[in-house]
Amino acid sequence: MDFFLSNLLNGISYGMILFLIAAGMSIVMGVMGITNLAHGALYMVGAYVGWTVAVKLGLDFWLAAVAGGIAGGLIGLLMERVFLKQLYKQVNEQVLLTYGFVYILTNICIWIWGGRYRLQFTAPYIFGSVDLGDFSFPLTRIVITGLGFIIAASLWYLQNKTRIGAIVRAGMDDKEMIQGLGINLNVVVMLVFFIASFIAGFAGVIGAQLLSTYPGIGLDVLLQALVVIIVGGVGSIQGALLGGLLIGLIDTFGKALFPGLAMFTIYLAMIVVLLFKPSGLLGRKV
Amino acid sequence: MKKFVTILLAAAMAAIFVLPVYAGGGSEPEEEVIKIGALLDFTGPVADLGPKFQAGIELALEEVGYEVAGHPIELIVEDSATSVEAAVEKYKKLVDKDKINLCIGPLMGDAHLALAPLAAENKVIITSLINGMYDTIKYKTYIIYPTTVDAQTYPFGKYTYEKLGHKSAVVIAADYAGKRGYADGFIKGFQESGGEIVQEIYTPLGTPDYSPYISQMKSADVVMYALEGPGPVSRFIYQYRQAGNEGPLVTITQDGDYTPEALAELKDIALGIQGEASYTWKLDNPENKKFVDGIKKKTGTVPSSSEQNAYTLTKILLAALEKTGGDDSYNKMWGAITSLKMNTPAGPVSFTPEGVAITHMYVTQAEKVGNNYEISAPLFTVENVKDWRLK
Repeated sequence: MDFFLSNLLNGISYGMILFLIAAGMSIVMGVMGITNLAHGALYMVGAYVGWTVAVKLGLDFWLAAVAGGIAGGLIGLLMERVFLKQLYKQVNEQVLLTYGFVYILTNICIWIWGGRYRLQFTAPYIFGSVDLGDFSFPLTRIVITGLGFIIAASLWYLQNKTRIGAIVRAGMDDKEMIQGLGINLNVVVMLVFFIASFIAGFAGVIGAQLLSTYPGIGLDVLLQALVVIIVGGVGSIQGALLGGLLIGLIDTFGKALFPGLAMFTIYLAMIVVLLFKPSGLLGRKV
Repeated sequence: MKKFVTILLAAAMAAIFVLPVYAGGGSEPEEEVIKIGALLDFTGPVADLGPKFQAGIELALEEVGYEVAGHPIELIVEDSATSVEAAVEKYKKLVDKDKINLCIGPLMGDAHLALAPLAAENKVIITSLINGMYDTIKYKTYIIYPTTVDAQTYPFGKYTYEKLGHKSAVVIAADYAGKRGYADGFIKGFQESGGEIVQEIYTPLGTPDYSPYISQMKSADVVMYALEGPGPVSRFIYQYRQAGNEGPLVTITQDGDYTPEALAELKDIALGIQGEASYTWKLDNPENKKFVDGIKKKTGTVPSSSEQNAYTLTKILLAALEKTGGDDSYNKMWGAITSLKMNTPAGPVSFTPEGVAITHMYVTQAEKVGNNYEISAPLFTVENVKDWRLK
């Protein structure tokens, strides 16, 4: 029972990190039609900026998380305004450009912070563990799980229940019609891209509590985010949440039960979903 | 006019053939440059270590003014990116384009296995960086330092049972040839002493979250971990302790993984963990004093085994080149290296005819000195460790 419960909780908290990484990328990809492969690199930048604020400067962890989010958001916004703006609906060009940004941002991080790993960091008051029956469970993971659900609910509300969400969804289906109604779609696009990139940077700091920070993490998390989006479905917050939790749980239980297959379990899950539901579990039909 | 042209041509011919002699360039051909390649990891899971290896190599070359036996030395560094494919690709570039005969690195055991047959074909001498693979010995192209991975940890397995008194152990190691080799050596030594290995866990390279593995660990007196490098090691210890585990840990290559930077971040979490080491900067010998001063001056921090190994390997190549009069060909260099006996910052070194170094193995631990977190002086020493399979 302890084995099951501890892995269940580990899987959910890891899944929440995956959700945070994938959520912004999924919105940008599904709703705005932009394939931003530099999303993982924004996560990395956020993690490094957060490390600087929390560890180097010794400031509050949550301030560091917001600083990481702002750093990710601003770089994302710059990418969108200067480059991606010119490449709407040109997927190949978007892929090449944003993949190039992965290397550029990784090298900038190496210049600034060096090549070495940065240890996990968190707020001092959530370091430690709580007793759950016969085993202890890290408090950080409980906080990450709660935070993940709050952000998922907020994003779902923003996308489905607010005027901005409605404009974004309508605007991407029929750009001319929305502009004809006198709405400045440009501003909305900027705002959505900033929010998506902010979440990536913010996720970098939240994720650094478990996964630490290093130069190659941008590509590592990109791969996982793509798997989550494929499984959950593109453009849907519920899909990213479901995909993140499923992949987190499959990865955790896979490692615990079949360590020899640890590298393959999440890809097996992806293949099964692609075979039976190519648009993802909660994605739009294709 | 015809006569004038003939005289002009003759003058030109004279200028081409005679002038260089008077200019001093013709009679003495320029000394041939000795090119030393280095395959170091600047990206990937052990990216921390590349700059450290490079600092060690450069310090050794700076000490001789980048010159040996009258030949200038050129160091060509490439990023092997903690990847076998990248290591092979960069090795081919060093051999085909740069025409090297000597190569320091790469680090990863899997890359050693891939490169050994290629190097044997190209007659290139390669060195390991932190231990090497026994399976490469047959190619007689690898200089393995400090010794093979399993010979390095075999005495530590015995030490863990006999001196620390642990009767059972869980082993967790990264799932690639190098770390599996370290784990095998530890397991052999521990079991031969009478210890029981209750569980072996092998984790994929670059595992981001060790919690699923930590949660399945069985009860044992001690957990021995052998993970990729400073980053994964720190991440594992942090997650292990954060999950409420307070039991003892032991480790391998402690001097390489517990870099000053990693210890500064781990703080109390790593205190008291004992590990096998081929070097500690607190060794008391004149070679080490000079070396520590040199690295401190160069990098601003105390060295770990990464700087030391790269430094000593470069010194070994330089000593052999001195013996061959600057001839870096395989046939001259192999014998020159394997017959060497030297005092190094890590203690005395000699070689078996198969190119495997014979060095001391130390046991160290993480400790707090004042406000600093440091690796300790040797708590225990096994002298002249030699791979048990070699005569």
